[in-house]
Amino acid sequence: MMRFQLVSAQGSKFDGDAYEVIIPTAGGDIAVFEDHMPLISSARGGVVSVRVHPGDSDDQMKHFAVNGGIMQVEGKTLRFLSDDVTASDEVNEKEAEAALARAEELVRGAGTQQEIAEAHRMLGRSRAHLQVAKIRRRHHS
Amino acid sequence: MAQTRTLQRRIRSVKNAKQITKALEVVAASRMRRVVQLVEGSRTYGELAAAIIAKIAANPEAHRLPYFSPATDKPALYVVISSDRGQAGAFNSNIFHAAMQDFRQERTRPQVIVFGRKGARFFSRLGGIDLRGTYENIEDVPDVNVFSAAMEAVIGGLAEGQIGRVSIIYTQFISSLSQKAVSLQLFPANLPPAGEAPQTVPEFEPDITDVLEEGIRLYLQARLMQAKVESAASEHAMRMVAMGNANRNASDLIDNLTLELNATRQAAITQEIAEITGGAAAIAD
Repeated sequence: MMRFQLVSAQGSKFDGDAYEVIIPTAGGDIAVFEDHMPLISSARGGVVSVRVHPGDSDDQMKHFAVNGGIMQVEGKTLRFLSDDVTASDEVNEKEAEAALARAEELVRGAGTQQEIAEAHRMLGRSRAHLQVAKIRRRHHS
Repeated sequence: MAQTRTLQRRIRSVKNAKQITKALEVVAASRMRRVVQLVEGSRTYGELAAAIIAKIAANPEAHRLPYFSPATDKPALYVVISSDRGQAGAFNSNIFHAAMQDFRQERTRPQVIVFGRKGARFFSRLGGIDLRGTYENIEDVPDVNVFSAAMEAVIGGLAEGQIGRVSIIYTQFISSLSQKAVSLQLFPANLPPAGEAPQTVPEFEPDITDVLEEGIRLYLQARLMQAKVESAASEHAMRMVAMGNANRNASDLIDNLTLELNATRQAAITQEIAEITGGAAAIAD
């Protein structure tokens, strides 16, 4: 077991022992177990999944939508910091779909550099939300 | 009689003021409680981000970057967090005092970004600085997006070498009775002492520049968020105390005025009786 800390600007979202954590790093999804080599990696938008006990099935995993962030493995601690973390039960699939459509609209209409960056952030965020909502539906219906 | 009326009017107006201060005190207390719960979380976030930055900075490749090595000849950028509303005791004047103290030590014209209406007014009238931006009507615990323009200015300015140092001036929340205006240097990142040699050298993925970019962004955002949340908690705490004092002061004032009113009314009655008995005695003679 290792300790997993998931911290967002709004406070801690997960802090406790975990068996396996899947992280969407910039280079691709990686699964982190106990005694992973020391690593610092940036993340892209996606879903962080946590398997708390070794015997837990996939639908017992906890999922969080994240939009970028940074992960650090050090000793037996894995930390993931992101300004934008949403737990799967806080996401509504319909709303996420609507937000994605709005974000796509924004990306098309964006003019200035800042608007484009903002719109892409929105897009990444709603994609991650939708992804996590779909995972939840698959496992709980 | 004229004097008793004036006194009555003054008592009424002090009572009104007392009701307002009471209401402000109650509102400040409840808002403070809500924000204080978030202070702890924002501190954890800030500290973890700083810890990761420290790890990155230990790498020799990162050391020569402007985020870590000071350029003393370039102007400094200050991010100042004030409040939108007054009546919070010395909240804003403490912040301005701390800022002025820092500015006096600057050899170049300091650049300033201000959050809060009170600060925006103060710094727009102040000479000798470059006001880079002002942001008003920001919530106690804002969405991270409100900082994006300020972050752009900081990261862009450092990367292009326009600024050499970045500090944030905010009010640290120690407890509901104690708050302190502090100036915290963000860049060059003030890192924990590098005394202990890093036992483990972490791997960076995809590469150090990419990780550093994201890390710096998170670190800056975390610190701004923490400063804003702590300032909001402090503002409400100070307003609560200031309004509590004002409320007690109003009670004292009402007591004194009531005593004075009673005395003048009694004096008027005594005078009238004296006049009546005097008049009666004159008729009887």
